[in-house]
Amino acid sequence: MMYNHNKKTILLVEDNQAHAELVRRVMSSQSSTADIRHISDGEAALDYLFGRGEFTSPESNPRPDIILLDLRMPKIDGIEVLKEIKESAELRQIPVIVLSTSDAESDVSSAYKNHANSYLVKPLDFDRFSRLMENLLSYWLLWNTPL
Amino acid sequence: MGIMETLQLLIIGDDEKARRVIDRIQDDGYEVDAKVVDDSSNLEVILNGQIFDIALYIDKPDQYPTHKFYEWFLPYIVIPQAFDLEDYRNSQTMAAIGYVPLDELERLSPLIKNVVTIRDTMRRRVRKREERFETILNNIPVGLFRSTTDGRMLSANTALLEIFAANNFEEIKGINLKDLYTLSTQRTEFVEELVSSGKVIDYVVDLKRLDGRTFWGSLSATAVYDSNDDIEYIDGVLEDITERKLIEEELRKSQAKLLDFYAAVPDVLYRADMQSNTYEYLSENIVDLLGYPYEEVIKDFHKFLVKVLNPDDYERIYSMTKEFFGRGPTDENLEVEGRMTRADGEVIWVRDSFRYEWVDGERRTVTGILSDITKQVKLTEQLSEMVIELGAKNTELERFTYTVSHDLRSPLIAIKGFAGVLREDATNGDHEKLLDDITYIENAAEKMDDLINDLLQLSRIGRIVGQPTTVSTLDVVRSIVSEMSLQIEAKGIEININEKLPELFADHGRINELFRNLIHNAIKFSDKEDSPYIEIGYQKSYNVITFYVKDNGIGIAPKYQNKIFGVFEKLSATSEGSGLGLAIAKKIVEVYGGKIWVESKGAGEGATFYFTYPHNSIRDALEGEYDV
Repeated sequence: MMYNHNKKTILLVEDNQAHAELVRRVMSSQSSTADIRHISDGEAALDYLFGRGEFTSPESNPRPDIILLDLRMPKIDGIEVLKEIKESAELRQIPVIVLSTSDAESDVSSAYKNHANSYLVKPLDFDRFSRLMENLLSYWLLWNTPL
Repeated sequence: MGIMETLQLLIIGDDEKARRVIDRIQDDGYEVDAKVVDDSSNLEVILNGQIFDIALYIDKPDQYPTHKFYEWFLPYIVIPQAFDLEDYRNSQTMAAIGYVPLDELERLSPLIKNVVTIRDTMRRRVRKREERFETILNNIPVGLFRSTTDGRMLSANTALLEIFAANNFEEIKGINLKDLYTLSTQRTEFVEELVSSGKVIDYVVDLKRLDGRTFWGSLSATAVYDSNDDIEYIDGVLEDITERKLIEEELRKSQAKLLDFYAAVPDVLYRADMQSNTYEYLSENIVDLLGYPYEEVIKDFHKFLVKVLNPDDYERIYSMTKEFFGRGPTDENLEVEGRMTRADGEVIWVRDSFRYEWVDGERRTVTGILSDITKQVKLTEQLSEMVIELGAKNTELERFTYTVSHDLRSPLIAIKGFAGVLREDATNGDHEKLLDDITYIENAAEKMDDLINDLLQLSRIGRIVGQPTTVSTLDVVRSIVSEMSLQIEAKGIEININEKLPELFADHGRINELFRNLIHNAIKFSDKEDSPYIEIGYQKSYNVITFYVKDNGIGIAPKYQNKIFGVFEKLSATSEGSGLGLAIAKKIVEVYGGKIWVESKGAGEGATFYFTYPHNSIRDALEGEYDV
């Protein structure tokens, strides 16, 4: 199996600045090839994906290879964003990994019902957090890259 | 042959000749009781006073008073001095039963024998008839009597004796009838009625039996008059109606009991004849139920119902009723419910539960109960409102727990995460990043503290009730504005406060918290660039007072207007605060039974937050004010 060393774009949709920074820090320490784009609410995330508003330039706003999506966000929540992505013919192939603080049954099932590719609960433990990010990157970026 | 009865003779003639005739008859073996008069001038008096078997007319052919004998059914024999043909013929004409000259007295014997035989035969027949009649009288199950107005019993049948518990007539004969009355006035009234009208019919009296037991009697009587038109005696009928009276009394009592029950029922009972549409019974509390006079209601109850029944309900009930009796005879009740308007205009809910009595496939009567179910209907409405409210609260609570666990975990993840990052940075000797990591940890801890404080406050609103006092909302708003003057000046906000803001009777701390959260919210979302402006005022309608806090800040798009009062709902990821301010405001308003909402035309259009305060609380405040 061949490693794809091209730079991968990760879209991180997360309203909590600390969490976003944490993810960014952990990931960049594990993979130098990941380009992490952080967006802090659902509306902006959709604007980015559909190239609207301040995100019209495809050069500076590349199509993500993977989307990390928080659920509880202002204005448009994660489930709404997920729905729009999976209803869009152009976007539905991008893997969407829900990354949430909630392990509530209703959230998990609602995410999978809307075709989330994975649902991950943010662990309290830092080592587990690191491991999760590592696994996530290797699985979704290396092994499961769409052909 | 038994003992011969004494022969009662009336002899008209002189004593000497009468003696000869009497002797002759006695010689024939008759016992004789003779009345001798020597002329016929006052025969009438004599005949009125005594009953004779035979009259003997001696030697007075020219003075026959024969018509008198006819009248008295008294057979007579003419006894002349000597036979005279013309006289004989006269006697025949005048229906004498015999013509026996004095010198032929031996011919008298067979004549007298005939008379006696006839007399005895007649008497036997009469006695037989009387006996038969007496038997009938005695077998009649009602008491028959003959008495005098002064209270003597002349005769009575067996039934009458039985009624009075007398063994024989003698026992009752010696008693004055007045003494058999429990109330002497009843006897007086009875006699007076007889004297004045000649008869009494079905006069109910309270009588005593000879053994002292009392009983109810029904007395009917007719007065029988003598030749002077005075009452000679009274013929009457007496019936013992004690049993009947007792049954009647029982019936009356049980009817009275039933009527008592009817009257005690708070509902309206009715029974009506279907043909005539008249009411056999209609509880008087129909007046309490509907407020109209009884006469107006009962005149034509159906027309009346149409008048008071809500027209919508009428249509529905009419078709239900039609469908019900269209199914034919049944023992089932139909229950219908509808609104009625009382005389005073109040609308009440009434249930009518009724059934028909069917005769030959026709509805004969309708019997039913009208009940005021306004309270039940209102309770049911309240209950379903409460269920909805409870459901909403429950959902809110679920959301709350979910949100709290989620939002509390969020800073913890940051703290533990950055602690891990910090450790790595320290291990790697990346000292530049250390301060950054610590700041993240500190911020997260601070955020958690804010959250916990606000949560505590939110949980206290429903539980801790301060003593209500008269609260001047004007003073409350002014002190908040002055506390926040630094932020207000920094943003250059113009504040406009309605000087007439009213007083409320409420918990001062809560009212303060409520206005604080709304004003703080308005300041937070005011933009320095747009000559910011905040107005605090109120509107008053007849039963609610509506306060508002208006700003020209960033505004809220319609789709978010419902969300902002939820726990931890923030519209901006970057804005400060825990997101609990409006949730707290909402909870305070709801504790007072009010409503809170926001109006905004959209982003950039400013927003106005409204909340209502129920009127009774205001009136309480005013009354409190007057009392002071």
